[in-house]
Amino acid sequence: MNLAVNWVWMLTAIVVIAGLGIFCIVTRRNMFRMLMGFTMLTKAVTLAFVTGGTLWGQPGLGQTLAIIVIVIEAAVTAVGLSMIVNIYRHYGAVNTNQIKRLRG
Amino acid sequence: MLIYVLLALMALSAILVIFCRDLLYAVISLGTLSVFTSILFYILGSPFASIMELSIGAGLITILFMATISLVEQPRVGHAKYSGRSSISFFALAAVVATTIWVALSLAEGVPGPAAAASAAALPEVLWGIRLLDVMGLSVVIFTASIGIGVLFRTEGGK
Repeated sequence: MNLAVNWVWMLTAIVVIAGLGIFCIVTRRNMFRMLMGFTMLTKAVTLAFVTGGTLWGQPGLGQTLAIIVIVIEAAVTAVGLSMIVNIYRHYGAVNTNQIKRLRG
Repeated sequence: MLIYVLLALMALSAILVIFCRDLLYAVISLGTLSVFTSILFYILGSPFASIMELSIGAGLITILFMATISLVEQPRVGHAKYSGRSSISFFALAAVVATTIWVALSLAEGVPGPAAAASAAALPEVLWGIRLLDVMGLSVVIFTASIGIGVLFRTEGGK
């Protein structure tokens, strides 16, 4: 099996996944979708770290940074989901078009 | 060849996350994206990152999303029209199973042993040496996130 990596295709995939994540964050109004877009964006970043570590001959460093990004992604996703639950409790909606009141 | 197939499947999963109407299907696509990413990490010689991505990205985050969606979404009254979709779902499931078997067989043929072993040996000294400050910051982030979740779910005076 040929496991040689074509870096152009790898970088293209990273850019495509990051672009789809940004597109999801910008165009979708459902907060779940926005959080999924953020998750896709962090996956692209993680892939970029691992690819860069392999490309520059430092797989340990790339792997370490990837692990750090994965853990931070999980923490941010957990906080974001709890915020969505609270927003739903207050407003009864998870669509950002229906959440326009900003009161303390 | 395997890497290109994985990259294409990752892009397809990301597109499905955005354009699936049902949120649960989108979450499943997100988990599938994590699975493909972890396989790619393993091929690139990063076994620990692969394990973390598989357990946290495909496991924990998917379960968190599903639990929250089941908390927030209203239960559906009546059944959706599945009559036209059953054959499409069957073919999609068959394609996923066939792809999984093919990826597993391809991995069994050429496991990236030396690269993965070298990367695994280099990880502890990088993680606990050069990037020790990052690891300490990471523990602070996790602690802060747990406190934040506790504050968000706080109930005041039995309300």
